[in-house]
Amino acid sequence: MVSLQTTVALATIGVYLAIVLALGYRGWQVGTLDVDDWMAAGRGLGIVVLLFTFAASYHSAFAFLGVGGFVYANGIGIFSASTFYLVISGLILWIVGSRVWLLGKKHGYITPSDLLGDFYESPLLGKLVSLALIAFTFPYIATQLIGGGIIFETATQGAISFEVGAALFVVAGVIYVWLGGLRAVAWTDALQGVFMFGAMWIAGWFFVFSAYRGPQAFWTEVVREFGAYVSLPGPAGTITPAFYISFAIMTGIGVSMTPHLFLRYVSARSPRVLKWVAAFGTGYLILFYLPTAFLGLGAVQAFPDLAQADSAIPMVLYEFTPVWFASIVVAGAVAAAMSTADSQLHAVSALLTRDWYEAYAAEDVDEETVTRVAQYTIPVLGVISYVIAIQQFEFILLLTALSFYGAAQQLPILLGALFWPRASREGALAGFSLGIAVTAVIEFGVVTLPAVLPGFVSGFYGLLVNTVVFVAISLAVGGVSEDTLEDTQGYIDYAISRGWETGGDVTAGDVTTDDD
Amino acid sequence: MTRYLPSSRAGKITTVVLIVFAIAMNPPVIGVVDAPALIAGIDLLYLWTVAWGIGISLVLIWAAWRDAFALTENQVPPELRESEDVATTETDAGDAVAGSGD
Repeated sequence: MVSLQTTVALATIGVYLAIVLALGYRGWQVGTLDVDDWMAAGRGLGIVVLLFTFAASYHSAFAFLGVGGFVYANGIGIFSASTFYLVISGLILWIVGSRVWLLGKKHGYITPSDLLGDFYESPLLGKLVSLALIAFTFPYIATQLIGGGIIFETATQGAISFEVGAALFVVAGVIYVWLGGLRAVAWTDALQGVFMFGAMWIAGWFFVFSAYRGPQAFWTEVVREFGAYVSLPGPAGTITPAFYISFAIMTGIGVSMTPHLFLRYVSARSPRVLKWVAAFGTGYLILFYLPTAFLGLGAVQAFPDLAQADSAIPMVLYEFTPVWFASIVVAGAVAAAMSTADSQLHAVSALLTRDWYEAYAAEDVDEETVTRVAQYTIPVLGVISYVIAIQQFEFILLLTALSFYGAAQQLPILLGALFWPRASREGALAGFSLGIAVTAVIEFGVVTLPAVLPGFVSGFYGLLVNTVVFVAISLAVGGVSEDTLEDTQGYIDYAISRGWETGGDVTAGDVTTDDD
Repeated sequence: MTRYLPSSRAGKITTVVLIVFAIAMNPPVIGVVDAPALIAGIDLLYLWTVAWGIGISLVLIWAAWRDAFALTENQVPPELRESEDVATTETDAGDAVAGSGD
């Protein structure tokens, strides 16, 4: 006899998978076999779709499981830090993203390596950046599969095992990414973004009113009994001032520099789209987190001895809300994990094809062939990710610890390319390499920092070394060629120092429409 | 140096608010509100975070409405729009820059 929980969870996940596959099919019908279309959705995403694909890609399984676990172990300090880092990401999307968009539109850039390799006149730097991003992003797909498999198994009470759940998860993702490329990813993300937000908000408020008769009774109880959870540095003493500041800065920068979000910068229809996505996306992401405080702290009160902190939110839901409702919300966690995994799958495929295959393929290789190669890599990446996920290869999964901090090492050299005329190839190569190296040796405990140093996160030390080395060497050796400067920073200056009014009938290219 | 700073009034106001926000949401200032205490029945640190979060979101929406930072829509050069059949006419540089962007 199948329980109500299993039935509702299976039905919800089944309907959800059917819809995302249908959206992928529609993306395939609309799309064309060229690189811009498959990798950057034809550079035509409008405000609504880009808003949700940005927000849904930003949140991973962490938003549903990890943040509840973090609150359970360390209190609500993460909400203040996250509000700060979400604003950092919004500003990067607007100010950096719009300039990347301009250069992408002008020169056909799609990946970070396209822009950085070109500006610094260094294919080596382009390859180095690409390799680092692939190494840090690829294992992250496996962790999303692990999250997805756990959610399947939990929500269905074991009717679908971890291995089968992860397999269903990856097969569905591979199919719709293959079919529609970034357009399908963005459309499914829009669905996932709405589902995630609705599920989390309804669940949070449902819980606080059903278990406590409202937020005031809830907070009175929490402040009286669990004061350490609503003050810094939290019950475990983790959120020190140094950790707080460095964690927030590195997360805000790191997520913004991941390749799947970089692809959103070039896929916008216009800077106007990026501006509004930055403004509303920041608000969406900040609001998303707020009810998770109720659920995470609710677990502290109801289940003080949880073996796995990440199970805090599902435990609270199944204890305090109707089973059918909890099953629908937990199924929403599948959307959170899948919306990140599909974006990363697509982004790694784009990096492999654009930065490596195209670089070594024959010069006359056509767009259709390149796009086909990108599509072929998707199932291969899916299979490898699945094997890593079910075998849980420790070394590879350790790399996920570096994913945001490693990606963040791009920022100094990207800002150099967009804003600083003295930025040099030598400085960029040395700074980026050292930033990655310093982050890795600290993160993996190869060296132990003296106790006298503040307890910043590893990536922050890497970013400091990276920036100092990049600036110092660039000042010493001088910048890139005048022609390159003119093509990049000169073009940005040319754009922002004047304006053009749109005249005549605005039709196909109307930047104000949102039909995709 | 001026090329890095917003020139429009909206850009300057937004920049100042963002700096105040950054100070308010980080140590040592956030330490002032992290004691377990209730304001109107809500935890102080949570209320501080929610208030600043909603406030800064509204400021960003206002900033977007006012085109506080470059790159703005009217700064996209005509050659990038031609492929999309959008006709353009150049305006005075001063008008464009003073009204929007940085």
